Amino acid sequence: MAKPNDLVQGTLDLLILKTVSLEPKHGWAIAKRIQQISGEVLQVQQGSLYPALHRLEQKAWIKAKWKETETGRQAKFYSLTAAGRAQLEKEAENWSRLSAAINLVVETT
Amino acid sequence: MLWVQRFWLRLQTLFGRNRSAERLHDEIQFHLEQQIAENVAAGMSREEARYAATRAFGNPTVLKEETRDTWGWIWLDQVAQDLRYGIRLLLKNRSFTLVAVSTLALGIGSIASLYSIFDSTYLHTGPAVTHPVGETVLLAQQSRKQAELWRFSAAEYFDIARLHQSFDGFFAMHYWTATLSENLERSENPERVVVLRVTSNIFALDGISTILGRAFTPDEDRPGGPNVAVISHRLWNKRFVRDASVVGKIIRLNGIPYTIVGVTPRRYAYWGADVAIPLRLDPASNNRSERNLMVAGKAKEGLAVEQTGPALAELAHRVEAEYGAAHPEYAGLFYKPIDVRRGVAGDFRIALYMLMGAVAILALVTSANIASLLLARTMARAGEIGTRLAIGAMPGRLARQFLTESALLSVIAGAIGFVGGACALKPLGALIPARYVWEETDLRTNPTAFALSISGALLLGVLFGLAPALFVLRRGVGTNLQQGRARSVTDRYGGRMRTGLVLLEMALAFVVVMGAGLMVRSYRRLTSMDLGFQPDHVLTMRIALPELKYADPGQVANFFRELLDRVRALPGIVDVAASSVRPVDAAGARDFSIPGRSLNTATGIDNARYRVVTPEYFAVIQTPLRRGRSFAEQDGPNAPHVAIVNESFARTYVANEDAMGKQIRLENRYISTAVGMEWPGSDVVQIVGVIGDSQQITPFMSVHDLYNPAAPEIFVPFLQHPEGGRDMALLLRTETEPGTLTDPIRRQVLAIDADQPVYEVQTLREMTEIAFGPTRLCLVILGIFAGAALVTACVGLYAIVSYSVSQRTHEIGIRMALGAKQRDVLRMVVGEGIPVIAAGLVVGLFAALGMTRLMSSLLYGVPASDGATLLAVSAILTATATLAVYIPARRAMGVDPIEALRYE
Repeated sequence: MAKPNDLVQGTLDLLILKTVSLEPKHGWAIAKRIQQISGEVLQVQQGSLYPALHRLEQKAWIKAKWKETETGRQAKFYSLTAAGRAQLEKEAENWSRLSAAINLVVETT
Repeated sequence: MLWVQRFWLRLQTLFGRNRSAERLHDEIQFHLEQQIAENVAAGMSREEARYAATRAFGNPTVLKEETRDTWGWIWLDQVAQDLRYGIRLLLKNRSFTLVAVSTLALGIGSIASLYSIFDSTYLHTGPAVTHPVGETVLLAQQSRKQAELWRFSAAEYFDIARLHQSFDGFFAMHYWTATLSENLERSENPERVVVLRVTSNIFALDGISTILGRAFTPDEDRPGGPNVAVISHRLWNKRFVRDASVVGKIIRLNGIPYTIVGVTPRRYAYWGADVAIPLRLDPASNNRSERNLMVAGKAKEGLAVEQTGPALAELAHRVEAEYGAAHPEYAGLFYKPIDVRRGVAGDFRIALYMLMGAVAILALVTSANIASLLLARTMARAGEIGTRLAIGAMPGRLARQFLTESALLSVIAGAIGFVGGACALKPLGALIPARYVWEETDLRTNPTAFALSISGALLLGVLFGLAPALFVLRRGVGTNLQQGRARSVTDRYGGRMRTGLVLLEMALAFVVVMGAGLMVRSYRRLTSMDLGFQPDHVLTMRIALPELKYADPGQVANFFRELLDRVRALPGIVDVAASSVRPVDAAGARDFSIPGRSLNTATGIDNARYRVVTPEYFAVIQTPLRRGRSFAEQDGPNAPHVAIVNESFARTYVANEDAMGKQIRLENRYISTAVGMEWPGSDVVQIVGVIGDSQQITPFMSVHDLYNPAAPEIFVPFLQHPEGGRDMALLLRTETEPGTLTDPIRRQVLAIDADQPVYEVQTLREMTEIAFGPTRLCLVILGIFAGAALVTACVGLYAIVSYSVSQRTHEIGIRMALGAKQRDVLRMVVGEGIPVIAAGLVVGLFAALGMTRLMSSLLYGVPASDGATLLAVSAILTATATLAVYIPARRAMGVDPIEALRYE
């Protein structure tokens, strides 16, 4: 089954947390948003997205609420919890450290 | 608290899972709608848009399942689901469930309960010694002048006790049978007990600490020490009903008071004793000729019995050098170490290994059976598995379900086996002669045995349930779907494996049934053997007159004369006799010489079995008189002293001459086996008759002893030798079954002496049965194992044939539609089973020939490769196996072609 485009394992969690940190979003919007922001580079497959969302919800990093969308249909909106915000900060910092390190290695060699 | 929050979330999803599932469906539906809307906006038609969105999305069921897997505790839900599904499946395939559960339960139940029984018998530890550290060695001494002698004098014991090389120490002992009572004035419930007079270090050397009170001390084990006693756990249990206040109580042994100071632990054989009292040897003793002690030692840890030889040889050499001048009999002295464990427990150990082997074989048969059943079933479900994989089931999840199913099977079988085994314990235990059971209360379910066999069953189920499941899962969707559809093609991998397993079962069953068959034949040989006397309708009991009360031999003679007269007058009694040793007791040996003839021993003295009997003895046990006359009333104290010998004696000592009228000089030494008896004085007797030889049967003998030629025996009349007849056995030939006569006889004894106990009331037949006890015990246990193995193997055979029939229903239908007769179908199905049976028999035959050789020392009169038994066993196995094949074949014959063709 599809994996996010060569996404480093675990970075999908970071992307989701970051995406829902600004405002509550439903699953489809989260996928779209990641796709747009990354300039169509990161394609999030549904096969990974929903299990990840539910996993994060079970960990109480995000919480979900059923709300009406602008078209008037009921959809499940995810938003960040306090624990999720802390986790996001931790993971974001991990990520920048990791990517900086990788950059360093790639460019100096 | 994050974890509280998480816990709450999990609880919510666990209990609100239906709602959560609906929500998930909505969520995914919404996603799809969004995608479709976007596609439409991009210019696709509605139909195209839906199609593209669904394709991009993938399998929504898999997605849902993967998502649900992230929910906490959802596995709990899945286990419950698997269990429900498993139970439904087991209920649906009733015949499979019945077969699998019953054979597994049979295996578990019989192994666990037989082990429990076995654990309560002497077989488990052997009758003699329980202490595992260091081998126990019994000493015999031998010299050029005297044959092997098991007895030592006090001074000789102290010589040996000073030896520290190779040994941790030695103890001396002496057996004595006494009447135990608790009150002198009015002896209530007097009983005979085996008393061990022993040095105090036996407890330390045997590694025994008392469970109540204490052992006696070296201080008490001194001349003039107090009368103290340590009783066995068995006696404590039986007579004192586990009374914790027994310590300090006074018991009387032959009227002499002893204070109980301790109780030995459970399952300590205590050298066969009920009570031990201090031997009180005098360390200053220089008595070297009065030999009445047995000496046993503990070899240092790790030393084999043979390895103690050099140290003992050196010691004997020193003793000979030091005392040889005063004691010419020490010339060439040496001490022989005898392994007690091997010497006493020989037959028992073989029986033990044999029964353990039977357990292992039954376990193997059971596992092979459950393996083949589960294999067949998993293969039969290939189609179902294929379908489930095709519509998106995950292999891991399917494997888990198979696992749940086979574990469920094992647990049910384990529970039934446990309950059945526990219920069977009592009736099975009743088959074991009480004599072989340590203590009555020991016969109970052994929790370890049951726990082990149930976890074994669980392991079996998991292993054999999972292996074929993994095989089927791994080979992919296509093969499974194909096999599921093509019913006429039996899968070759599974088929061959199943055939192999059933073949193995048949072969193993053959071995056990063969073992049981040999034991049956051996037992029948034993019980139908000509013993040289007729044990049916003879009741026996012992009466020991206390020395204090019957000091004068005349009193002893009067007591027994009166008793015999009274008993003879009772209704139902044909004849009655008294004898110092019964035909089935181990007789002691008396030294004798033959005047005017030199016997082939260094001292000119030999020994022979010796019995003091009343004139009716030979008539009561019906031993034929070959020559001369029997004893009669005329052989009184004042008449010339006479003797009767057996044919073996006549053959050995007066060969080629007429034994009649020959004289025997009875010397003043009598070596008893366990019972301490002294025969004072010597006497010259004249042979007046020769009787037929009889088999020497003794308790704990090995069946191989029966091959030994009869030993020489001397009989003397009671009236001329009343001095040795204080401890006599009554033998009564009765008209009917002798059981009911015990009480009238006891009343006659009490009428003469109100305090006189009667003990060891047994029929002669019972005594011979006891002697054949190990054979019977093995027979019973092996018989049960054989039955269980046979049933299991046949069920296994039945299961594969009926499985194959059910798989080929369609094919059989076609064949019948095309004109095949019922007979052809029968032949086809049976023809499939016959090669398996035949191969199983052949393999089993060879395996049995190899295995039964190991038990040949337990067999009497039957070779381990007995042809008749082999034939009978093959016939039984063929018959039952054919039946197991025939039943499903009948079913195949009844197939209705139209039904069968529609069945697809």
